[in-house]
Amino acid sequence: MRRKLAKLPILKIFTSQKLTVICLLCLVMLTFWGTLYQTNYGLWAAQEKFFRSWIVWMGYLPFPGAKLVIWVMTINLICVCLFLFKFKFAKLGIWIMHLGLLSLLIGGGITHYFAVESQITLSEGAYTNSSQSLEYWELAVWTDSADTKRVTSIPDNMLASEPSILLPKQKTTLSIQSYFRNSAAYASSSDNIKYMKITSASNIVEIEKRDMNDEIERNKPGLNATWIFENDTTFIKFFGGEVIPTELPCAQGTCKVLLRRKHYPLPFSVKLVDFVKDNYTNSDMAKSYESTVEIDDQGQKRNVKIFMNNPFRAHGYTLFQASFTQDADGETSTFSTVLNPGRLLPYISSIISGVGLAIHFILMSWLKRRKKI
Amino acid sequence: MKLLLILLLLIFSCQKEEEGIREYLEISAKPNKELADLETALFSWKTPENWKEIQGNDMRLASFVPLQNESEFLLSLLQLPSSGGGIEANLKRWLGQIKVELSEAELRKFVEQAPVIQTSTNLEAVILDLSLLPQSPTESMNTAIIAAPKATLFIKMSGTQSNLKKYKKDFFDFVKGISRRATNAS
Repeated sequence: MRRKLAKLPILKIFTSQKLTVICLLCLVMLTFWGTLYQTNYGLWAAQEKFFRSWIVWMGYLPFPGAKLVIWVMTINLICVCLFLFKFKFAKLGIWIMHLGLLSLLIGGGITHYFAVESQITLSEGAYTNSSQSLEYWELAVWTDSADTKRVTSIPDNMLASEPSILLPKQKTTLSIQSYFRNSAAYASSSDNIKYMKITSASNIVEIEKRDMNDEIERNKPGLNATWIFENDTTFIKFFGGEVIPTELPCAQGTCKVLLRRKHYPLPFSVKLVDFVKDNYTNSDMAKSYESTVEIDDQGQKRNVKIFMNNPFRAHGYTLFQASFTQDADGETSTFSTVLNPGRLLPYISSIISGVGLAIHFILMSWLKRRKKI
Repeated sequence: MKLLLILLLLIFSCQKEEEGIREYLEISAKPNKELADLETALFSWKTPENWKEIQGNDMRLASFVPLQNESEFLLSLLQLPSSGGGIEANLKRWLGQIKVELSEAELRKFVEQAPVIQTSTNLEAVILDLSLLPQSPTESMNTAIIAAPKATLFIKMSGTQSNLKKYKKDFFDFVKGISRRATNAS
């Protein structure tokens, strides 16, 4: 049955070794182009164009993107295992090795589809229990002014697609006129006194749509909306560059509303205790830098050091030392935060493949010796 | 064939889940006192009639561009706590932005010779016109630093040398119009 199926034209293509070689060549070329592209357009743009896309347009010529290539490789590998490989004891090592490769590709898929990347930036002494997305935004609504607050968050995909959003807890409706993923905001210049409250959205008189920036962190969204509470209607303009929330009427009295980077709550809080940067002699160039952070995990506090190649891991989250600033206002440290359900798969699959190779070589030499005897 | 169809279905159904409205408990990053002060602008200014004011963000209080041709210059206002790192440190930072290197002696001389003007409310503004430096590239900047109790205001006008020259008087008038704002934070 397997042999018959393997003769089907489509399966002939998908079980072909040539296809594997073509895919590997495509990956080499994509990695090369992606690396060059990253120099001018940044890491995020390169990942989007070459690695997270089905098709890459090289001018008018289409080229398969890494997403397509890896899917084809996965199908190729599954088809080879199902229709070509023989179930023989002598092939045990080959089977295990290919299962290891398959789990590596599946791990890549899980990372691509389910991993969440975000950032935490802290000045010395500051703490937080959430990390911020560089890509996604949210309209955050809260009432408390204390350090701990319960936030209602409307994601940017809803702001972009829904004409009207009901907030039952606040008993308000947000009617959306327009949402721009990148924008510029203009404030009133007629009255400078107004401008003193620089971060109040009420001072914005115009939100202008802008083209999306290749460097994703430079995009600042804008929202033209109407906030409706009982008979009170407020026309409001939110801009992603604001830092102080706009106060609007709601069922709790006054709600604070801010268009900000999407926050991901963490199961622990992080406090930056100290940041240390070591320079090369007679230079401002960093030789090494490390952050001492206090982790508060459900009341249990401990100090950990995060530096290059020494991330902090807890509850499936990994915090890497990403960057820092040393400015007139002190030192800040930025951590890249990754929640990746497929984090362990590359290690597991490497071990499986290694074991498979070892079994294969041992079996081969054993079978050879047996033949000679 | 069925297997292929299942695989194709799997490929195209694998998308990151789109979320709806969420609720979560947030423990805010506790900003230090100086950063909290900076949430309020401690200076006020008068926007010249031929300039357009752009919304500020983060540490930047405001930015301005000419009303007629926005690309001619960009003026930004930055407020930092206390001395904001001092004149020389910020001058070095600005010089780095236009890729000009000065020796320590040249730097000191440039600061010593920098003109100091009085604003309308008797604040002292040190003018550091980097476009006057012989090493200055075409894209340069004209800057001013106004130190006041608790905060320092940094004014930076960047553009081509010819545009900086064209708007030099406007820049001086703008700097002269800066005043310290009476607030609770001050």
